[in-house]
Amino acid sequence: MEDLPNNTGCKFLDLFDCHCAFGSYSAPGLKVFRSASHIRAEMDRVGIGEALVYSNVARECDTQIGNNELLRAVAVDDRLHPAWVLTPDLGSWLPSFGERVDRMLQAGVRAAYMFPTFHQFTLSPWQVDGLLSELSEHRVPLFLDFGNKHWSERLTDWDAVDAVCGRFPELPVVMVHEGLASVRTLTPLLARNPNLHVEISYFQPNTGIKVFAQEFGPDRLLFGTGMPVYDPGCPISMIAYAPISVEWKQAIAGCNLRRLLGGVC
Amino acid sequence: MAGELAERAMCGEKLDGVLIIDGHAHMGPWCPLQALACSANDMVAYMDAIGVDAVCASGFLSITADFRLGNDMVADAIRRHPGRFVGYATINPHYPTDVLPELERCFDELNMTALKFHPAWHSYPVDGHSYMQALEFANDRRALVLSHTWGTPALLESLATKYTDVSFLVAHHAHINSPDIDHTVWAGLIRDLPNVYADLASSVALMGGFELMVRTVGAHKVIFGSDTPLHDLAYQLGRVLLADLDDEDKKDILGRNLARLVPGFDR
Repeated sequence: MEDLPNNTGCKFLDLFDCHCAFGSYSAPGLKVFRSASHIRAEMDRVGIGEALVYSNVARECDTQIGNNELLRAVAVDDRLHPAWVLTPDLGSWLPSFGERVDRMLQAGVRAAYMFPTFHQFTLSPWQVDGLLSELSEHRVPLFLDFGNKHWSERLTDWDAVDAVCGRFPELPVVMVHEGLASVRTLTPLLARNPNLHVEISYFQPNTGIKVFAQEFGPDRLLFGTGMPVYDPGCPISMIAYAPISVEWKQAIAGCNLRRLLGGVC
Repeated sequence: MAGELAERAMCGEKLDGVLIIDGHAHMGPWCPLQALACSANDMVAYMDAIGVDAVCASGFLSITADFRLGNDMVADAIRRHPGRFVGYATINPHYPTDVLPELERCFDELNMTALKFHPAWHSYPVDGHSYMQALEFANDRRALVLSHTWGTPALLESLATKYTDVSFLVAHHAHINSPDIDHTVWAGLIRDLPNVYADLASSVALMGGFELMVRTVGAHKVIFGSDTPLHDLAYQLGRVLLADLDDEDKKDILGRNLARLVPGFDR
């Protein structure tokens, strides 16, 4: 039997949640964050220091209204960091992708969320490469959420993810809310693509944090909660009790996200 | 922050001094998924790192292809790790003449003390002949029975009132995992029937869904379960440890409730 570290005397994790949503939902939910203070209250309850937040209004209906509403909500809050929801809409009547990404960066936004399934677009070059080339040029981390709610769902287009990582090796790509059934697929994909990362709010193979950190290094995993839909206690406990060093835990808890956001140019 | 247990969990502090018994675990691989740390040895190593006293386990092999071989695997873990595994004797209801002999073998020779049903995997009604044989057996042995499903609320009520010496553990029902589903009927049964309990195990953990169910049915009716090694044990524990509940309720859920239902934990 392998000896695992004895978990005594660890210090608190410096948690930076990369997956948090602000604003209303059309579906009946148990919790909603209607203000920055709502988010901070739950963060305080479970010891999360900072959070990267996107707007559910932007995801569900209107990117412009939602993204701007988010900016106003978190404008004076140094613990909440905005991420914009982007779609690859293309047309001569629209601002160019370069203008859109410039506007985002000028607003202080250093991360993008995309929802290929919900927003009904592909990751094919003819669809997304205009936008992704702008994000890649500025090293803006791209969080991809294919909308899997249960591990038995197979909504993620893994071939397309592999191709995006290969076409844009400088673009940090983060898979969001992938489940335990993705172990078989993520293992070769992480090996092939150094710019691919995994957000762990739903990634719960037994001792998976240790196995993946040892296999690929701790810098490929990012702490996320999925609040306010999902329970933050689960990923926090999983990192805290992961049989890995405190340094690796802190990397996953927040250092990796800080590094990605700090790399935006 | 929500109490001493939450603070200990956030530090990753080993949970010595807190009785933790996982009421819903498995063992071994299940090849539709790439399993990690699924051997008895690996499971015990992780339990030790966290401070989990014991898990109640059925083999994936017991539920799927070969129930005898799977039960043997669990029995081997019980032998090699005394006190760390409570064995769920598992039968395949499609082999009705094997039900009683296998249950007697599991209880009388393999030191198992509880039963696991999986009517969904076996596509077999929970009130079918094989399961009724097993419930008669469980009633005679005053045993705990965990079932993936108990059919309808009415069926569970009829079984629980007929087999009053059985402790019925309702899998995956100690939380609200979809805001669209009306859980009040199940919650009412769990609250009102003295021999019915709710198991927590679920991959999906909606924020606030566990606390809502605990406040509905009472902490004394909720059993911590993880579905490990399908799920990460610490991930599943986090739902209890960092819940917005007081520590005494958490300790009931983590182990004290189950210690009253299975032998071996008289402390």
